[in-house]
Amino acid sequence: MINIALPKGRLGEKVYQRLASAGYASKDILSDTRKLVFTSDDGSVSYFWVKPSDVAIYVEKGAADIGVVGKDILLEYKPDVYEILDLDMGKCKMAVAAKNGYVDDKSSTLKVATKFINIAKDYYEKQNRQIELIKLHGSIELAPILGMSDVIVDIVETGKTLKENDLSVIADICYISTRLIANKASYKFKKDEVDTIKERLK
Amino acid sequence: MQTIKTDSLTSEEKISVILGELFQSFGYVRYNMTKFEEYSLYGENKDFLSNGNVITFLSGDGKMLALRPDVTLSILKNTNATKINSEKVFYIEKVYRYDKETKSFKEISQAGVEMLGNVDRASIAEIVVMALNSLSALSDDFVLDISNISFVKGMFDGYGIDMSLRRTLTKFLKDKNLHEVDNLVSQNMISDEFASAFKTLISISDKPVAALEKMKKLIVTDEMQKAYEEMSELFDVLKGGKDIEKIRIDFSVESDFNYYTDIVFCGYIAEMPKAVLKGGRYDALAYKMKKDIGALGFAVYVGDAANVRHSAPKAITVILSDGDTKGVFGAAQKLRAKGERVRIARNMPKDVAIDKIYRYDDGKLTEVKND
Repeated sequence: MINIALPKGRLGEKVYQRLASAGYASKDILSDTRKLVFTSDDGSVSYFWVKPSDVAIYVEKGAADIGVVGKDILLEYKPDVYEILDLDMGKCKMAVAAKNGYVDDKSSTLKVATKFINIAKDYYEKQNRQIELIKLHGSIELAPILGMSDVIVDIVETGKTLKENDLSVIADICYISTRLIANKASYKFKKDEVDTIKERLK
Repeated sequence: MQTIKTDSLTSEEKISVILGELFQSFGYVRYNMTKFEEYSLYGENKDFLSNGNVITFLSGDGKMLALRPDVTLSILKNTNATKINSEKVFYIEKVYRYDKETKSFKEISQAGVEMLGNVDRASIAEIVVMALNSLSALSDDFVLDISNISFVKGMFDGYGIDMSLRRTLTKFLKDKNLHEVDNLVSQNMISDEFASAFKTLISISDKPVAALEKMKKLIVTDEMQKAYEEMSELFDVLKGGKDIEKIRIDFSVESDFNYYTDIVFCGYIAEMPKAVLKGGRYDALAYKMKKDIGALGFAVYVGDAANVRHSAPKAITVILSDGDTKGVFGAAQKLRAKGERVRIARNMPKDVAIDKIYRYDDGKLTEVKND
């Protein structure tokens, strides 16, 4: 039996559909929203729904053998897992955005608001730029509007939210998509099963 | 002389005893050290530690000391081994490391071996066998991944991969990430030919014979040829031995190219979600510390292994008594002589699991039902 951690929400459901059409369907998974653990009809895999940012933790700690997670989470938390497949879903980018018309003053410390502290730190470290990081948990776009930060580092999908708030992307950091990850130890012991799932998802 | 009843030991202590006996049986001698080390040792070799954060304090005479985050550096610093006179030591120690997850320091129990001096093929085979035996002592279901850094380096050299790209590619190798290798091709950063070879390397996770076949086809430099021959000879020596079928050649074993050379390995047991054993050849670290010797060793994460092997303490027998001290003492001693664990108590104990309960009254024991 392979344990699969799926992220709660729309993306997780889409990934489940892909797994279902790859032969791992579970009759009642989408009907009962309160239940957290489901077994596929053929009994070969067990699914559980977890908070998207927790998927990597479940996999790293071995509670799940494999999981589905955004590249943003992998970059931010650097979990010690195998990244075995790009599922080519949930495509977006990690970018730096600022108020329209913003001009960077390189002589001063840059105030950066973000959910992704490590990604922002790595990005600016490479540029040897002195920054002040402001960790936020949501509504990142507000920070530059209220003058709390100069820029934000965040995920940009369509750019609609930025536009509506009079913000725009000033630099791309990297491209993000959904990845299939595997626990390193369980991959040693369940390699064939995991590789089969990976091949069927391709 | 009394023999040691291991029941009173914790899982961690039991594992340490088992591994200590194992290491001794290969002629390794115990190396004891203090918990403190001069901070400068770590300051100078920061990259070798996965995290440079160490607990420091000032000694009475103003020296900056650290609670030891690593054993290998201390052993290497103090060794008198030469290329002619080798030293083989083992240790069972606690180290103190910063844990990025909890953002605090953690005490980690390790047991390990270091072979310093003339690292020949026989000693490499010996260390691999000791690693297999250590894993077998921890679990029935285990795997030992073995990689060879020179083979990977040789591939990078052969295809003229520059230093900054090597870091990225090494991360892909460690993560078994094939898809981002393709991305580098589409960005024209690497050739199709290299990508295809490198992807084969990433995908290798096979028993030695099958893996060596795949490795052979990848050879493009003398360094790779040499590494291949070394691996080949190693498995030739090991062939037919116990648990050899548990070995996989897998290049995802994490290793710092600045410190490790040639063979590196990593052991897993089915009960644990991460590696329980890590080791390899670190001649480059020895060289950095101005020691002209070969160095090879591994460490077992005894504390982590103990956590998954933890068993509940055994239940005890209780004698309830509120008088006749002498009589109850005698009755308890008689039961202890039969091998029972006996506690005399006035009231029912709440801190321990209970097997049998007796009441001592009028000079005799009566069994009481345990509800």
